[in-house]
Amino acid sequence: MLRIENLSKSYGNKLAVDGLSLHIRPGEIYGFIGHNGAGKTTAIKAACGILRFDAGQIWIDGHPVREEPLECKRRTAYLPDNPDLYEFLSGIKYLNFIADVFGMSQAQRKERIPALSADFELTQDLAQPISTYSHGMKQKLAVIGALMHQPRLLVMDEPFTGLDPRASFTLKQKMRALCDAGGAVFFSTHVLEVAEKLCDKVAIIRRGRLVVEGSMDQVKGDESLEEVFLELEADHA
Amino acid sequence: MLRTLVAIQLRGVLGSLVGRLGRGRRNKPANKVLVGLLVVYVLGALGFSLGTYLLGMFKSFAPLGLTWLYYALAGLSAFVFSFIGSVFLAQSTLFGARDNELLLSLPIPPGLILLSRTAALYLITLLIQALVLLPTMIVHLVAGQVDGTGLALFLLAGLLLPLPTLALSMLLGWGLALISSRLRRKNLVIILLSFLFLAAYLYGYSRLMGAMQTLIARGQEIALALRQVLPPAYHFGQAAAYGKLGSWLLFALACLLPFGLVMWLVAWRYLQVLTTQRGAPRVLYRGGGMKAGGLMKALVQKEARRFFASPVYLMNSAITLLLMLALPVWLLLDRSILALLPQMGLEASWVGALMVLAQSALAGSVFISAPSISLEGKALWIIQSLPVKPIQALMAKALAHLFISLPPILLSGLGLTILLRLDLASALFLLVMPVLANAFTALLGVALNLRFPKLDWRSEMEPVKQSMSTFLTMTIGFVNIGALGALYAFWLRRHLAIQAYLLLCAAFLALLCLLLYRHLRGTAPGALLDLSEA
Repeated sequence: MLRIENLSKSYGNKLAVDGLSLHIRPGEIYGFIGHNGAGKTTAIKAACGILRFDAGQIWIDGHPVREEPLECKRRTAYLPDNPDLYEFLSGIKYLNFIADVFGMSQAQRKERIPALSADFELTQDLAQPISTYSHGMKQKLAVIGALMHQPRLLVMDEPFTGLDPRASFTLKQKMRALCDAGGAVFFSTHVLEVAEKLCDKVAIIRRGRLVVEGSMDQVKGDESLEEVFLELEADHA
Repeated sequence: MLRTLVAIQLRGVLGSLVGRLGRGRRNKPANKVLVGLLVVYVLGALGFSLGTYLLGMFKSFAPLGLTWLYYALAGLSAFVFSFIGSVFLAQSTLFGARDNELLLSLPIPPGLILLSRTAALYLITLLIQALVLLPTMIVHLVAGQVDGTGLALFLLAGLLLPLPTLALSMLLGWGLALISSRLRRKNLVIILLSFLFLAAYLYGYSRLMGAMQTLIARGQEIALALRQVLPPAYHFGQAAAYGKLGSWLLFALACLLPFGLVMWLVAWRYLQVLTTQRGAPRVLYRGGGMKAGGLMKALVQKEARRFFASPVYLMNSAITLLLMLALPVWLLLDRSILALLPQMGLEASWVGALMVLAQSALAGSVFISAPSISLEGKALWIIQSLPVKPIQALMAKALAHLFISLPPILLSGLGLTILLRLDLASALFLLVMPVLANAFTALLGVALNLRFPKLDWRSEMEPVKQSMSTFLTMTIGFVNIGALGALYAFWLRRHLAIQAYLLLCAAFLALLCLLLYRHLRGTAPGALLDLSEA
C-alpha cells in the first residue's frame, strides 16, 4: 500500500531523513517511532506528497507520489500532529468542503457524516465555528474529515494527542476496521504502549535513519517496546 | 526584557513585510535584485506622483510666505493617510494577537507587552507617514531655500507625528476589542461599524479636499483659521518651515500628552481586556448542510467565506470596491459635479475615458487575492494534502477575488454610464476595462503571494496589511493604470484616438492576465510544495 525506497530529505545542511526504506502492506497498522526531531514528520509529509524530497521514491497503491500526486492523494488521508483547520468555517461546512473535494455524493455524505460525528461525539457541535472548538474537538473533526472519504491509506502524525479516552478508543477501532477492509494505517506516536497493543508492524527511526523494522514480535521479542526503544536509543547514541 | 519583546515585535513586522525574501530554494541573487528594483519602482512611482502634487502646493504657498502652511498640510495629510486602517491594526496587534496568551503566561508585566506592541505599531505608522513626509522635504529642498534648523526640527517632528495617530487608533481599537468580546455576531457588527467609519472618513476627506481648493485660493485667510482651529498643525508647520524651537516644543507637547494619556488608560485596563472572553451561546447542529458541489465551487466558496468572515481582510483588501459603489451614489446626490463637466470643455468620449481609467485604477487596486495564500497559515496542510491540482487551488483564490469584485465593479460602471449618459463604446469600456484590471491584480496577487508568503502570522493583520505581496499588488495594480493614462496624455494622444487607445489597453491587460496565468501554471506545482519549507 505504501512503499518508501531510500528516501532522503535535508533542510539546508541538516539531513532530516537518510535513506529510509519502509513497506506497509494492505491490512497492516504500521507504527513509526522515534525521538523528537528524528525525522518522523518529514518522512510522513513526504509520503503524503506535501513535502519535496531530495532522493528516493515513494509509491502509494502502486502510484509514484512524485509523478502522480493526485492519484496518491485520492487514496490517502493525512492527519497532522496539530490539526489547524479553517477556523472561519463551521464543522459541518468543513466536512462538506472535504466531501466536495473528494467528489462524494450527497447520499454518501448523509450516510457517513452523521455516523462518524456520532462515533466521535461531535454531532451537536457541527454548527459551531471551528474557531470555538477545543484542541480535542478540532482533532476529532480532522479525524472525521480523514475517514469520511474512506481512504485506502491513513497516514497520521501523533493522532492520539488531544483526544479523550473514548475518542482514542473509537479511532483505534476505526484504524482496525480500515485495515480489515484492505486498507493500511501508517502513524507516528510517542505513546509506546499504544503502539505495542495496536500495531502489526513497527519501525524505529533515529537521526533520520531506520534503526529497526519488523513485526511487533520481531522487534520487541520478550521485552516491552519501551525497553527495546530505550536500549536502541542508548546503542545508537 | 522590553528590548527583547520589542525585537520580537519588530521581527514580526519586518518579517511580514519581506516574507521569505531571505530564505527558500529560489532565493537567487538575481531574484533579490529584481524584487529590489520592483520595490524601488513602486516607491519611486508613489513618490513621484505625490511629489508632483506637493510641488504644486509648495509653488502656491511659498510666494505668499505660507511655507509653514505647506508643511502643516503635508503633516495633516500624513496623519490622515496613516490613520486609514490603523484602528484595525491597533485592535489586532494590541488586543487580538495570537501570542497574547503565551506572553501573559510568562512573567512579563502586561504593561511591557503593551509597550512592545505599541513600538511595533509606531514603526509601521512612521513608515507610512514617511511616504508623505519624505517627498515633502525633498520638494522643499529642490524648489526652495531650506532652513537648516527647520530641516532638523522637521525630522524630529516627523518622529513625533505617529504618536497622535497611535493615540486615536489605540482608543478606537480598544472600543473594537470591547465590542468583539461582548457580541455574538461580532464580525457583522465590526463590518457595519467599519462602513460607518469609512463613510465618515470619506465625508471628512471630501470636505478636506474642498477646503484645500479654498485654501489655495484664499491662503492667508485659511492659514489664520488653521492656526486657530488646529494649533498643532500650525506649530508643526512653523517649526519645519522656519526652525522655530518654541513651536516644535508646543507640537511635541501636543503629540506626547494625548499619547501618554491614552497609553496610561489602555495600560490600566489592558490585562482585563485581554483576559475577557465571554464567548457566544452554543448553536446546536440540527442536521443539513450536506449539499454536494463541485471541486472548484468548493475551493472558491472556501476563499469567499474566509473573506466575508474577516473584517480585517474585507475592509483592507476591498476598500476600493466600496469607493466604486459610493462614486455613483455621490454623483447622484451631488449633481453640481455633473454640471461642472460641460464647463470643463471635455468631449463626451474624454469624460468616458477618464472614468474608465479611474474605475480601472480603483478596480486594479483591490488586493483580495494578495494575502490569500498567507492566510492559509498553519492550515496550509489541508490544501496540500487534498487531491487538488496546485493550479486549481491558486486559481480558486484568483476567481474568488474576481467573483467578489465583479458585482460592485459592474454596478458602479452601470450607474456611472447612466449618470454620465455615456455612449455605447465608452459604456462597454467602462464595464470591461475595470474587470480586466481587476483580473490582472487577482492573478498578480496570487503570483506575488507565492513569492512572498507569510504563513506564521500572529494576527491576520500581518499578511493582510503588512506584507510585501499586498503592498506590491495594490500599488502595481494602481500604478499600472496610471502609467497607461500618462502614456496617452503625454505622448500617444497625438497619434491615436482615445477609444482606439482604450482598446489597446484592454488588449494589453488581457495579455498580462494570460501571461500571469501561464506563469502560475508553470510554477504552481513546485511553488505550493515549497511553501512547506517557507
